[in-house]
Amino acid sequence: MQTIHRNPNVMWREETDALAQVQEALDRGDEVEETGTSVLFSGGTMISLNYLGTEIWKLCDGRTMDGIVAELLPQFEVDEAVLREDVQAFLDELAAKGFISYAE
Amino acid sequence: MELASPITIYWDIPAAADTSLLQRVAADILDCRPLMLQITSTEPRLTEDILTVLEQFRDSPVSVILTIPLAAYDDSCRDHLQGSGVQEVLLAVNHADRSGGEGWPVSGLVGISFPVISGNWRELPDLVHSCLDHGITRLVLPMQRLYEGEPPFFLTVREQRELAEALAVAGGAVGLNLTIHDPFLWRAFNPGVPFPQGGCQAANTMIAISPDGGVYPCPSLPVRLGTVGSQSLKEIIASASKKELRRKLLAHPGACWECGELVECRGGCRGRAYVMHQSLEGEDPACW
Repeated sequence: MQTIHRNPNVMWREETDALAQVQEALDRGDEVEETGTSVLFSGGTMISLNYLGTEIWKLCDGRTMDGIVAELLPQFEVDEAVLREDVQAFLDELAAKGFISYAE
Repeated sequence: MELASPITIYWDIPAAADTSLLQRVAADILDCRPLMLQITSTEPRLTEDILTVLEQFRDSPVSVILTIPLAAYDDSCRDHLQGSGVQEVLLAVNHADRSGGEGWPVSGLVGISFPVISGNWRELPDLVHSCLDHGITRLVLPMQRLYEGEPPFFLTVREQRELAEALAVAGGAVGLNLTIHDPFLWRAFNPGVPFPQGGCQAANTMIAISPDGGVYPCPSLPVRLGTVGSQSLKEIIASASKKELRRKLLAHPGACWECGELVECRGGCRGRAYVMHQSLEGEDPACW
């Protein structure tokens, strides 16, 4: 079974102020896709992740894809197939940038 | 991408430091949660003050990069730094090693920091060879410190071409992990490759603390935002004056609007331009 791992050389932090704003926005039912709640930096490349991206990133600790989806599903009102597709696409993008790796 | 707090803090440690002040500044830095802390010391040996500071960051998530003079890197220093939690040690040199091996450590465990100035830029191809000859694969060309109105160093366009040609003749810098902050020096090392940073990052991804405690948007941009000790670093970073400066830096310099190269250089080094013109609207002299 394939497991997913954060690259240990990636430096990252959650942006606490932005996270608080996002949580308030979610309570109001507002869109939060465009708000970065974490920043990742590695090898001169910096990327910002939105709330869902950050939650996925934090779960890249050796879990499987099924494990990540199972953890996220209760948190987001979304069809499992859609969530799985979104998570896979996001992880593939992170893997292409070297921020995560897959292991068998 | 605009950040509420920098990911890199440059801290140039004063020579004769008040230990308690250093500890307060270190705590201040931790409070800002940077990802990286670039500590630079010009002391000829690793002092207790620096070790005390390093101890404060040992178990923190902050990656510490320590730059010290080559002369300070003796056996005692090596022993102290082992297990100190420092992620990377850079040894500052002002010249390429022409001694045939004496003086420089033969080690891939440390990197070299080479502040480029008008008196040594022609040594860059030799420096690359010096590093590789010593098994050193990390080379940093640090940002020039311009806190005190020092004359800014820059290569003219003709000199940039001369350097690019000399590097190409010498075989380039293959095998080196290079960090170059100057977009025009970058061009000499990487002809045709766009500079990776999206414009000036002063007061955004970075903030600098000078030896006298002055807080600056970047080591090369001498606009003082405050003083640690008088205010907390967090307050200075959140201040209206810092945000206003950042707003100005997001706009390209007025002098560059008509320039066809703006899309690539994005105004070059705004600090160097500021020192030359006393304004953020002037062009980087490296364009001349």
